[in-house]
Amino acid sequence: MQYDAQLKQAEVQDTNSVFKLPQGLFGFPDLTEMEIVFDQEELPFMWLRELHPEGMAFVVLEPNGIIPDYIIEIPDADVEYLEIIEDEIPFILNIVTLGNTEKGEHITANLVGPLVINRRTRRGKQIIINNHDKYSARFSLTEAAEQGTTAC
Amino acid sequence: MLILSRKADEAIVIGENIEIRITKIEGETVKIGIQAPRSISILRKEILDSIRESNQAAAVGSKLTKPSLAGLKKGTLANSAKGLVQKFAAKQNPAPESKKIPIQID
Repeated sequence: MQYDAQLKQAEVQDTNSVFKLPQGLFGFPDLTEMEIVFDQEELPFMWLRELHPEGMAFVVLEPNGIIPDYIIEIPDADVEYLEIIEDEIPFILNIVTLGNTEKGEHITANLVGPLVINRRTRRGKQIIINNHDKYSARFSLTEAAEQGTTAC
Repeated sequence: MLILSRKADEAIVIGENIEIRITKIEGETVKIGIQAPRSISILRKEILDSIRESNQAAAVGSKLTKPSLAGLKKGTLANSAKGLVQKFAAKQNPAPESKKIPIQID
């Protein structure tokens, strides 16, 4: 079921967007249940947020088609933990940081510690990819967009 | 914290199946060999720290302040998204219908 999740709407509209994150995020162990919402105008950026309106929120991005050559290796232990079985493609989200520099806003994505969510069990985990040497935890989307290197 | 002295080629064992061996000492650098089940995650601590810091920098709002896109000018994200999407669209011909990002997880 598709729906327009307006960020302003406080109540949970559709349980399809909710998933468990039993271990929380690194540095935020209490964020164990989150939902993903988006505003049509802001796509491909989406929001990962706590279920109550006063809660914590993060901007996230589905890397597919946006981050060039982004292929992640999920550690065996995490594959096991998330019960990802063969041929299942988990939902991948990268957390985005919005910062400001003298030149204006600067947007980066964390490619080293993506959120991996099992679509079937609706359970997710922030993992550290095995091939973390290849990617940056502060991949500049601003520069990538300027140089047109996204989605080659 | 337990602190043990070890020489090169000496080892310690943690639990039943984790062995940590000092393989080489060279000036300020110590080379460590670790034998552990694949299910044990082994990481350089700096990486964990950098992810934690990155998460903290990325967090918008908190339990104390409204997550009203704190510090974010209205439309900033939409504008940035537009820039990204334009680059994206320029590379895709034509933009497929499936570009709409499905939000449901299953």
